[in-house]
Amino acid sequence: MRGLIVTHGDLGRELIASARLVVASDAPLSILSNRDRGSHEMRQLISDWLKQENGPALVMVDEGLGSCGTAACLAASGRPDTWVLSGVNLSMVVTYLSRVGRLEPAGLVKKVTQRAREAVRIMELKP
Amino acid sequence: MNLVGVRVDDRLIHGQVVVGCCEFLQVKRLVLANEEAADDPLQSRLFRSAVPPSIELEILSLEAAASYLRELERVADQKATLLVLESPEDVLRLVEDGLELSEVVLGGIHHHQKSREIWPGYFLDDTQLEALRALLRRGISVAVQSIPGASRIDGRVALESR
Repeated sequence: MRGLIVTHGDLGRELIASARLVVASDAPLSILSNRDRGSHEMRQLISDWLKQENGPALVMVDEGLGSCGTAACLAASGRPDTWVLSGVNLSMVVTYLSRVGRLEPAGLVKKVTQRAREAVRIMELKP
Repeated sequence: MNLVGVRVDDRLIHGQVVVGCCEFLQVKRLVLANEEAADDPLQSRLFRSAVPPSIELEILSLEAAASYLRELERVADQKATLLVLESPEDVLRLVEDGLELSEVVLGGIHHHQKSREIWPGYFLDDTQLEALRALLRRGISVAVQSIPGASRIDGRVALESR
């Protein structure tokens, strides 16, 4: 399964660089920033990336209801075996990099989503 | 009609609009005038889920938006309304259709074919520049501002010198 991170600014690049410090993985993961890009260009670039290869694809966006999420959903709409996950965080990227190729696509998406949810919590501060 | 802002943004409805503009301007109604969004159920659904339920959202074609806004004006509607359009040409079309405006704010116009950077981060093509000049000639001011409260540029100088 191929992966793409779509974010504002340099968030995607930094997430991947940080994740590679956590997990020793050379699995490819593409990045797209919305800097200086309008909706049409974003949608086209994501669509082009999806069309580069057949097969399953996972697009992780930072804001699901922002320009990145909208562009990803519109580009991926109607395409089989393609998932768009919002709220990308470090846990998601680490999980993707460490499990891609080891889990079947739907299982990987489920695992990434599970880790994402587990990563957001109110931390216990009492001893 | 209580039109609290007219924003040109080629990303249409996104974080800067929902959080940066609507919260700051206490917007109660958002009118998106855009042919493609009005015609595309998926796009409409995505935009609807981005807007909190406390804000009414109308996604209309340009013609329908002109008619809708005229009706708000006719009934002296007082709900704080923000109008969002994709391009200066769309604003001009609404103005030519009878919408009275005092100001248009360029919130986000990103790089696209044949565009060049007019202000930092704002990329316009000749058609868009001409539409903005036409708005200026009608006495409508043009401001460049990503979100309310951010630095603001009067667009007139750059538009008249290019």
